[in-house]
Amino acid sequence: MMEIHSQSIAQLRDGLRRKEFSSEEVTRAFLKRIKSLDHLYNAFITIDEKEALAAAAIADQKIASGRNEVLTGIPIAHKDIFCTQGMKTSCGSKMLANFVPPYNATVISKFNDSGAIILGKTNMDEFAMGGSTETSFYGACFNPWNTKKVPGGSSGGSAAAIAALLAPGATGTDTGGSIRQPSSFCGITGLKPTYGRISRFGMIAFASSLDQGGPMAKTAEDCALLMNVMSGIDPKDSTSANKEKEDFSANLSQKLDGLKIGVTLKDCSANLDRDYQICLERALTQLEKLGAELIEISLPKNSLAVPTYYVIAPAEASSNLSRFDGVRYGYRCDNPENLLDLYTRSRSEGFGDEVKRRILIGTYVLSAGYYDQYYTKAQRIRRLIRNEYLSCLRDVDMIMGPTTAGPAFDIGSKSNDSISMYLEDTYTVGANLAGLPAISIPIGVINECPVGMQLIGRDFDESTLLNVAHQFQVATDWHLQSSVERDYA
Amino acid sequence: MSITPKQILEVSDLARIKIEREEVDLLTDKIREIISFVDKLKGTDTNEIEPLFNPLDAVQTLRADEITEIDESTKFLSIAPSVENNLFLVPKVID
Repeated sequence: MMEIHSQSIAQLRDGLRRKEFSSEEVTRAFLKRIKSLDHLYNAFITIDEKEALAAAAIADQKIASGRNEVLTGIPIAHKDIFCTQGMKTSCGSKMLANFVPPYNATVISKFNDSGAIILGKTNMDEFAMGGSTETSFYGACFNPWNTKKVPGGSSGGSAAAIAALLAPGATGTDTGGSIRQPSSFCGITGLKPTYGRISRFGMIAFASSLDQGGPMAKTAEDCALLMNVMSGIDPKDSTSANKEKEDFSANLSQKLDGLKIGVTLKDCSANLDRDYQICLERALTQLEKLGAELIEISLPKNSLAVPTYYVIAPAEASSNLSRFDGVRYGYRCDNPENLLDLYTRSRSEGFGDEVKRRILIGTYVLSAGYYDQYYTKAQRIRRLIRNEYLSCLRDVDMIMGPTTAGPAFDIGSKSNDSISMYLEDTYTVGANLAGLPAISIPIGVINECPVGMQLIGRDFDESTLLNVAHQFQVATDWHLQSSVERDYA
Repeated sequence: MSITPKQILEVSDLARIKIEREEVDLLTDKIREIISFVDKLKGTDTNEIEPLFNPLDAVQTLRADEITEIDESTKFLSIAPSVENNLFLVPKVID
């Protein structure tokens, strides 16, 4: 039998149903790996072993009496941005170092209802602002493929945990690429669903019109299982979409004959690493072999996506983060002299440098005299970007391109160069601005670091993205390659 | 027009974030760099283009005007940094 920690969520589910192992054994196996290995990666901020094992015992009783739900007994890691009742939720910040939410995010409640075990809370860039998981107050997270490299971010802890086989699956959030970029850097599969597909209630807000939670796992098949649990309208989130409940696993086996895939490689070729281009071209050949028709397309407006994003995201962040004032929860400075001092010192001491910088940029672009020049202008360009995607997606079923500019970069190499760090989002932010679903899946390894491809789909058509990703993974084994055997054989 | 240290201090005041005197110049340079990066948006003609505030142009869903929440103030007060008589405590505002 394959070792427990190497198994996918689907395999663990089947094994639990066949009683090959218990949920307690599964949970203990992952907790043991976290304890013995996470000092290398710093993928987790919080672990509650006692709670996890207590939940596993309940799951085992349910399995014994045949009352299984979709994920009964399977441990899942959650990005530390999702509020977990009774368990610290820090958002990677000193500001929330003492914050124990009195309620669950809807996503967490849905996982609890599905029988999943909360394995722990994963590391992330502070308030999800970053692409490297270096801005976390709890220390940087390291890429399991090469610990001198970043795991990507902001959901770097979730990606590293899956790549290091410390968790079979995890939740992430994606405001400008924070699920897809770390998935690419860590050789896993990550889906940013359509805006509104998954409730944002209890998911600490960064940029509300861009934020979207989503699944991260080894395979597209597992992402579909997690989507079945996570998605759905929520009366507590008025921006969640009123869509019929879908079974995202239902179409995975469909053949790709006749599927039209738009290819944007010409747009990107100047900025792409040559080895990465080879991986992308090889992936295209594979998709063609599977029956897809490739159609060259161009998205010239995408060159405006990063600057558009870096107006809208900080603007929304400056508004969202105004709630952290040292009064109702979170960090409060010592001995405030007056109310203004309480606000100012609590915020100045509680936030890290990148968060402060983005709040300042956001405040600037929203201030009198600049609002139309920056914020409204960016929202108009956002419509041009979305229109361009929609026009392409009338002719093709999805758009294929790179997820990132190349494999993971060195820790520290971009931390003092904001623009270079921001440009990391070049290929991913478009889907957030347009609200479209997008998935990243592994397609190769360059100098012992994985790279992914991105597929962007039509509104609410995650099903086709997962179908293509699954068919690709049935035909290839990039998603099965792991850093772990090499290090810990 | 390039952003000045004075503007950075005004913005930090609005954002209730204190910037140390010795940080002002460096931070101004950093933010100036980012602002000039986003300034490239100015070259795009957006006349007659409506802003897109919600990516799907969705409208706010309204629920029935019924009370569904229960009073959980005790729970929320229990995580506040400072509380007195079931109220959040802040430094004196009015003398």
